[in-house]
Formats: sequence, structure tokens, C-alpha cells
Amino acid sequence: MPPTAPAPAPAAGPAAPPGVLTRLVDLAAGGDALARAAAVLDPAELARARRGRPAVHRRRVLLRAALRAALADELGVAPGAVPLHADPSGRPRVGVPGLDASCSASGALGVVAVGRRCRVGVDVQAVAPWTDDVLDEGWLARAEQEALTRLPAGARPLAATRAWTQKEAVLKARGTGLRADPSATVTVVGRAEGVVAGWTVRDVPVPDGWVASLAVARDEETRR
Amino acid sequence: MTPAPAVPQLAAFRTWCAEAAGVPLDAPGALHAFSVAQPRLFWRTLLEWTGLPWSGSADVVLTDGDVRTARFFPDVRLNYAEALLRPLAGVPDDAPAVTAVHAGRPADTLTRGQLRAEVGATAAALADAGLRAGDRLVLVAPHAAGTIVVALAAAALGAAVSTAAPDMGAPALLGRFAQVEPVLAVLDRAAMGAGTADALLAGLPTVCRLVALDDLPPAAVPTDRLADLVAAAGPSPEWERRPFDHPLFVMFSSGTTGPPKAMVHGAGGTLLEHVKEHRLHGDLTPADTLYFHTTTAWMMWNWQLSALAVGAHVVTYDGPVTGPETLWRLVAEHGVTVFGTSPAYLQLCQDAGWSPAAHVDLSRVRAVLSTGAVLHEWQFDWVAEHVGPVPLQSISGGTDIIGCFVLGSPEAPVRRGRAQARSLGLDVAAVDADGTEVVGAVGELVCRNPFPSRPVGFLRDPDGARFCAAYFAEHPGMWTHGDLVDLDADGSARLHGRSDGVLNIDGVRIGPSEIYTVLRGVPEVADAMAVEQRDPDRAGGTRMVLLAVLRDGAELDEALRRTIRRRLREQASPAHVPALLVAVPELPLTHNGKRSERAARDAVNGDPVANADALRSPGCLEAIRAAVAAAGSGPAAAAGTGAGDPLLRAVTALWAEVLGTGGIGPDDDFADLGGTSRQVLSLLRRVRLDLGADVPLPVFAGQPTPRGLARAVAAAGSPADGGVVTLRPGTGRPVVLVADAWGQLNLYAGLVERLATDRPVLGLQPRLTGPDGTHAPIEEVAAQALERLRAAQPEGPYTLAGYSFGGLVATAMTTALEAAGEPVAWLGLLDVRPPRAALDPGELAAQRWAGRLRTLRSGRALAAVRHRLVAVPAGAPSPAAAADPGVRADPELAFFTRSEAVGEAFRPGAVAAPVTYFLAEGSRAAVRGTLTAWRRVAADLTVVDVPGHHGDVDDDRVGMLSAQHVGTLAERFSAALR
Repeated sequence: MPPTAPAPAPAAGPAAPPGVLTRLVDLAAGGDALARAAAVLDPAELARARRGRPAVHRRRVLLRAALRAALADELGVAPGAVPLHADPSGRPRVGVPGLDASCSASGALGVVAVGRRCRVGVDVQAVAPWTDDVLDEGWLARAEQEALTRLPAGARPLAATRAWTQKEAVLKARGTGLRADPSATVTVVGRAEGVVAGWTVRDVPVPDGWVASLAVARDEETRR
Repeated sequence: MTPAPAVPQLAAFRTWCAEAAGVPLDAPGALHAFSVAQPRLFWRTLLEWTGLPWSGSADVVLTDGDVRTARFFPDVRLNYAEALLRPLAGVPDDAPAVTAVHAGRPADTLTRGQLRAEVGATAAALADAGLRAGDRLVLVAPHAAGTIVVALAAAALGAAVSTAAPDMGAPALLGRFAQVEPVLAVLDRAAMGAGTADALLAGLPTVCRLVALDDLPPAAVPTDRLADLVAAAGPSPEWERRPFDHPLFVMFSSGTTGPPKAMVHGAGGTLLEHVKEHRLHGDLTPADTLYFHTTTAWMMWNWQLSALAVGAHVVTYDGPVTGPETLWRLVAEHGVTVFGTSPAYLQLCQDAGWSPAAHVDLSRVRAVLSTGAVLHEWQFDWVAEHVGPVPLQSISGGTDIIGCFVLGSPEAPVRRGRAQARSLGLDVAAVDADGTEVVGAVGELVCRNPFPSRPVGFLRDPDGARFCAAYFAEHPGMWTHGDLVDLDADGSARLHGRSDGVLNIDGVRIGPSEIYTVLRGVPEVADAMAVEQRDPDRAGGTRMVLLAVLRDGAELDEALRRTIRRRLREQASPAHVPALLVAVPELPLTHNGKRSERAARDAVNGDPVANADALRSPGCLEAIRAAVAAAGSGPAAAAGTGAGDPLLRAVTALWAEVLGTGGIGPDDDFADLGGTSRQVLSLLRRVRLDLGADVPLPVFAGQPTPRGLARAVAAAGSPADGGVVTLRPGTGRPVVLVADAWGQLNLYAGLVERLATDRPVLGLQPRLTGPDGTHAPIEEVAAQALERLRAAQPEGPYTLAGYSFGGLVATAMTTALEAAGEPVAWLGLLDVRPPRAALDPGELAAQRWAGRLRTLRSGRALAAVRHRLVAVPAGAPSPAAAADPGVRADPELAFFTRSEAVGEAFRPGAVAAPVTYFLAEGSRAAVRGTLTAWRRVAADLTVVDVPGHHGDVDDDRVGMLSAQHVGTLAERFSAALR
């Protein structure tokens, strides 16, 4: 069970200095929380949530509501009033200049990220057991594959999962998602912080059993 | 012994027919055409030509033209036993008629004279036992001389005979004989199972007397030893000639489609058909010795019996087949000239690696006949190599007609895998569902005209309703046999199994023989049977279940499942990939060794099996039920849900496995089902491994539903086939990208996404290796790439581009297209360094100066290549590695370096199209002084600089196609396209 979300950063408008807010979201929340969350979603968001199976529906509602809540704190408005839309690709788009948002979920844990005058991408993933099949899935660059196979077996699950979350974070920040080849975004295996394909990448602290990565670039240096 | 005639008897008969018809019949197919166009003339000429003994009038050949009702020769009278045993001109009475071979004791032979005398004495004995004309007799005895004597004695008296093998159990025997209502049972109880005879007699209340071929104590009914009856009998009664359709045999269908049909065959039809087949199609003469491996429960027993009418010497055998050598030794020892066997026995020999010609003298064998199942092409090769240069004649017909629809011919050549000819006088055709004839394609086997060996009728079918339903319901006016066949224009035929074995998967008809042919290439699979199952999740839907019998030591693990599915998809079609694949210990076979798909189908559906007694080992059904039930409880059980076409079904099954959930609809969104992006990669890997299709991520992302993925798989084709992949849909002429030295397209993903064009983008993945696993030259790779491309884009102008090795292939394609007069609008070369073979000495020197080799062949470069090695699935060495043991350790590296070597050896031809050369910044030094080689080839060459390094092998530096630089490349590429 993920911990309760950390206290929100002090409210600040889009004029505030660049920075990133991340929050963890408990996606196992019960009926009341779900109903409250659903109340702040717009009809399109509700419709999209309803298309999913029950577990997917719950996740979408809670995650979207958490993203709205985080943006609401930034903007000082009610969550239901946040001008939040989606790109055709599904990436969240905030209708306020200087604000960017990203979110991710894996199992019962969600992460939302709000970027102030910077572009953000976040990805969380439950650490998956290692199998050699991973090497065959085509998303690891050759250098990453080699680095992974050099690692002791016990270190591979975390390292491989982090390679994934870093790539995903970058691809989501860039706005392509998996429409781009993830193997072309090369991470340094075993490193929680650094630069990946021009994006500053770091871990988001999450409970054991998960890895989350955040990719950030200031608006003026964002490579698209 | 009469020497074989120099010309086949068919030639003599053709002369008779030509005279009767008044036209020459020498052209190929002319005689068959005549035989079906003028049936009255044909059959009367045949009756006369055969010299068979008959009386009455042959003026009326045929009562009407309807195959269901027509009677042949209503005014002709004959006696089957007389026809077989009459003295024949040129065949002395001391010529051997029957040689009975036994296991463990010497063979014994009856001459024609002795056989005639024994049949006469036995007929007298049976008459004394109460057998009269029109009665029916059941005969359970092995394939031996005594059985022939009893059967012919009964026929001589005008009684009908129904035979069965002594190793059959009482339930199977009663399933047949209860309908016969026999007055007399002739049993070899010594050869039957303990208690079987008693149980049989108890179930046959009409039997008033048992005639024993054994010395066992009397049974519950009055019992006589045949030998005693014969000893006490008076002179043989007269062998009266009776009507043409007087009952001769009662035969049974295989018995897996409900209770066995008891069909009555008439004496005249049986005799005329058999003599026709033996003499005209088999060219059997008194010089021949025939051994057909059969039991008394199979129609081939009746068929071989009639060879006596020709004067041929018949060999019988009542022992077991203990190994591949058994029958070949029999054939050699007894001078058999025509040997009849089955695909199963030939396969047994082949699998055992036992070469008959190497062990026994087969010099007398002039023909090998095979029937009972589909005879495969490779078996023709095996016979040619291991038996000798004799025709392997695939013959096929059925109990129902006590003869053949397609069989041999002394004149037609043998084509691998095919029966040579249609039976004369039978208008045999393959038809589609509407009854329209199809030639050169698989259809339902029908006979469209009356033929004399049609059953007289069924027992216990007073109004003929069952008879009508059995053969005439599907295509009125035609005999529909229930076999699948393809007939070529030359009259040759190939059987494709029973049509009730045909799978109807949601309306798609699938002939299982193709599945079996493919599985032949999977050594772990010893045998298999594909059956359809009602889809448990979709009312009215069906799915395919494949039952596999594995060889000892093999296990149906994930790797084997994958191999099977993938082979079926690649070598047959996606429709041939089963929804459920289970290992079973045994397949249901009938007593005749015929496969019973029907029983298997009932078992997988959990239905009661209509006639389990007809099976050799009914216990296998329980194992099948259990295996299917066990497999059906896993997540893959949900595989078939919501899926109409087989590929969609296969894709849905993979979704179910990856997502660990069922109930997936064809239009469900991957994310809506809870699928994560990480799982997308697992899914696409499974698609690649199981379905053999490389679906690029962007393509999947564009339509993340089972239906969308199935479409993408269909469009992707097989990478091994060099299929055309739609990387991005669009309108107008496509932009075509050629795969790299690894045969991959993924590296283009970023470029494809960013191209500023509405045109579709296609990817080409030509096969880089030939059938022997060696790398093909660039020109050949280009040629097959072009073939694929032209299927997708039949005419130019073409737009081609490729990176590195792919650029060389694109160049060769351009040269070839232009040589063929097709315009090429543009050729894009993405850092395609000129091949060494294209460089002049000065350029070579410049290249060395640039240190290209140092980079490319350095240890660092090779290490980079080795990174790829870990990406190779275990147990999948590339063909190149298999061909060269020296590189086994590093198959992928070998593959790459060979692609490189092929590339370096390529000499590009002239290219007239405008060419844009995208020169990577990092390659500038390396190609300095060598771009002139490209200028020699391409008159219209523009060099465009792009940021980044070459990035393929020396990829420690950021490549031109990497996320960092691909935007610029895409921009300049798009500009060049316009």
C-alpha cells in the first residue's frame, strides 16, 4: 500500500520559479474516495474512464482527479475548474501557459507530476521479475542490454525496470510515447539520476516494489 | 505362367471402345470422356470385353440416369464365385490361386483347381447347414485361405457374406452384425478374444447355427466344425446365376458417424468394377501375384479377392506386422508383383530408416499401391529411393462403392503426391459448395453419374431414407462421398482427407491435411489431429483444437507451442493456427486404422462418442477429454472470445496471455483492458515469435485493439518472407524504406513519425539469406524485395530510401526498376557508405586514410555488435550460423558481418533517378574521398549534411537516427521528398 501523499508544495502561480511537483496517488482507495474523485472529472474524462474494465476505471478516475487536485493547488482554483485537456495522443495538456503535467500508474500506485515552466514526463512501474525475454522485447538499446547482462542477477529487475521508467518518462515528456522507438532513447543502466537524450532524469521516491522516474527540461531547452 | 503382355490391357480395351464408338479414343483423357459421355456403350463393351460368364440379355445397360436409383444390367444373371473360379484360357488349373502366409509356420498354396474344389465342397457343407440363396452369413476369420473358401462358397449359393476380423471385440462386431440378421455364423473362435464368440452369438438371435473353423467345444447354439460338415457333405449344389444386383457382400461404413451403415453390395456391380480396376487400371494379369495388406474387416479384402477373376495369384497373411521388414520380406519371399499397403506402413518404414531394397530382393515387384489415408509427396520419393523404380499408385475410393474413384493407370505418368487417373466410367469431380466443378482446387469429391458398384441399399433402411441422406443430401443428383479431393485437368487427383474431418471455423473451411503436412516438419510431433470445437465462450462459434501426439521425451512447452503455431502460420496460413493446442497420448483410430476425427471432435466437445466400439482403443477418448479440459481452464481458454477470423483469434489469445485475462472483444482497447505500455512490448514480442510478424510499435499504438493488431499482423506478413509493412498509413504513392543489415525496420520509427508528408510509409524486410542459409548477393535481396513491393505498389514512380546496408538494397532496386522501364522518382541514401567493390584504388586509399576500417572492424565495433547477441532468443541460431560451424558461438555477429561482406561486395549499377545522400556529420571523415564512387553511379546526386554519427555499429556515439538527431534528418528528408 503506498503511503499517503506528501504535503503539497506551497501554492504558486505560473509566474513562480521553475520547478516540479510530484505526488503519489493511492489507487486502491475505497468507494467514497472514488465517488469524490469522479465528481471533479469532466464528461470526457468520465467517458474515457468508463471504457476501461473496473480496475482501469478506478485507476483512471483516481489518477485524473489527483492530477486535477495538484494543478488546482498550483492555480488556486477548484479541481473541477482546472482547464485540463488531452492531446490526440492522450498526453495531458494544461490550458495555462507555463504549466505541464504528466501522470502514470502501476498497480495500486499512481504518480502525478506538474511542471512549472518546464516540460515533464513521469513513469512508475512495479519492479518486474527478470527474464531473459526482456532482452528480446526490442526496447533496450544494445549498450543497455550489455550493461544489464553484466549486472548480478539480483540487480537486474530493478535496473531493467528503471531503464523502462526513464525511457517512458522521456518519451512522455517529449510527447511521443511509444509511437517512438524506445530503444533509441538510451539510458545509463544502474543510474538513478542523470541526462537521458538531453532530458534531466531522476527517481521519484516511491515505496519498495516500485520505481518511478521523472524527466524534466526547462521550457527554453525542451527538445521536442 | 503367362508373360505380361507388352501392351497394357487398357490399350486393347480402348480399341474395342473406339470401334464401338466409331471414333478414335487415343487422345489423353478421351477414353474417360467417352466412358462418362456414353455410359451404356462403355459398360456393355466392358462386360463383353472382360469375358466374364453371364447369361440373359445385356441390351438394357442402365434403367435410368440418376445415380441414386439407376440399376445396371437388369436382365443379366451371373454368379460371383463362378466368375472368380472358372477355368481361364491360358491359366492351367494347377496354377497357384491362393497362397496363405502365416507367422511362424510355412505357407500353404491352393491351385485354381484345388480352390474350385474346396469352394464346391464347402458350398455343399453350408447348404447342408441350412444356408440358402438370399440368406446372410457372418464370417469372422483372419485374412487366410479358409476365409476365402467360405466366402466364395456362400457366394456360390447366392448368400450374402459379411466379414470381420477376429481381433475385434464383441461390441464392435455386434455394432456391425446385429443389423445383418444372419442365419449362419462362421467363426474362427481360436483367433477371437476369450468370450467374444459367446457374446457375439448371444447378441445375434437370428443365428441358428455356428459353423466353427476351430476345434473348440460347441457354443450355446448348435455347433458344427466346418471340416466335419465338408466331410459329410454330398456333391456341390449348382452355382446358380442370379440377378446382377443380387446381394453379395454386406459392408459397413467406418462406423464413426453414428451406428455403422450396413450396405449391401451386389454381385454384378462388385465384380464388374473390380475386374475393371484390376485389368484396366492395375493391368493385373495371370502373371501377377497380388498381396494387399488388409484385414477381413476392410473392403480391400473384398477387392483383392476379385483378383482371382483375372487369374492372378493372391497372397494372404494372417500374422502380425512386427516391424518395417515384415511385409517387404513377405513380398520378396512370395514373388509378389503388386504390393498393396498404406501410407502408415510406408511411413513406418521411412521413420525406421529401413530400406527395403537394401535388405530384400524386390526385383519382381512392378507396382506398389497405397490407400486408406492421404499419401504424402515425400513418400513417393522414399519409394523411388528405397523400393525401386516402380510406380507408387495412390488409390482411393471407399467401402461405400467397394471400389475406387481415383487410382492408377498403366499409361499415365505418376505425379508425386497424386493418384494417376479417375476410374473409368465414373464421372468423378471436385465441386464447391454449390456443386460447381472446380479443377485444380480442393473440393468435395462427387460422382455425377450412375455406376454399377453403388450399394444396392442399406439394411434396416426400408424407405431408403438413410441411404439418400448418406450420399445425396448435399448435392442432389450426385453421389457425395465425403472426401476432399483436387483433380487436375490431366485427371490426376490428390485426396485431402475426409470432408467431415474438415474444420469449419466460423465458416472458414480448413482442410487439416495441410496442418499435418506442416507438422511433419516438427520432429517433436509424432502425429496430430485437428478438430473443431464449439467455442465455450461464444454460442454458435467454433474454434480449432489441435491434438498432438509427441515423440518420447518431447514436451509441449512454450517453445514447442510457439514453433508449432509459427510454422502453421508461415507454411499454411493464419487460419491453420489452432486456438487450443494439447498433447494427448493417442489419437482415435478405427479397427481399420482409419483416423476418426468425428470421435475426437465429440470428445473435445464433451459429447458422447456415437460409436466408441468402432475404435481400436476407446480409452484414448477419456485422455483427450481430460487434456482439453485441463488446457481449457487456463487463461488461454478465453482465446477464442469475440473473434471471428482465425488470425484475430490467435491475436486475441496472445492478448489474453499477456494481460492474464479473458473475455477480450475484438475492438477492446489495450489500455482499457488494463494493459500497460510495458505489456505492449511483451505482446509485440509474442506476436513476433508466435505469429512471425514484426508489428512496429507506432502501428500498434495507432490501433491498439485485437482487430487492429490482427490487421497489422496480416499486413506485416512474415519477416522471413520479406513482407511489406505499413509503417504509417497515408494517401498517394508510398515512401518505401528498406530494412537494415539486421533485417529490421524499427530503427526508422522516429523518422517515420516525423516525416512531413501525407504519403504512406512502407517498410520492406527482404530475406537476407537464401534457402541454404548463406547470404544472398545484394542484387538477389533487391530482386525479392522488388517482388514484394510490386505486389503492394504495382507501378511507379517509386520512392525508395534506406539506411546503410538498406540503402545498398534500395540502390540495387532502383537500378533494377529503371532497367525494367519503371520510373523511380527519388532514392534516399541515409549515410550509405560506398561499398569497397565500388571504389577505385585512389578511393580505397582515401578510405584507409580515413581510418574507416579502424572504426568498423575495431574490437570496439565488434563489441557493439555483440550487444545484439543477447537479443537473440535462445535456441534460434541464424541460418548462417548453422551453415558454418565455425561461427556457431556468435550467430548474430556472423549474420551481421556477412551482411556487411555482401554489402562490400556489391557493385552498384547506374541510377538515373535523383539521389539524395544524407551524410552524417560523424561520417564525413570516413567517406572523404570516396563519395566520387557514388557520383559515378548516380548522375543526379545531392549531398545533404545531417547531425549525428552513422550510429549503427560504432554506436557509442549518438547516431543520425537517434532521438536527438532524427528530427533534423526527418526535416531534411521531408524537404527532399517535396
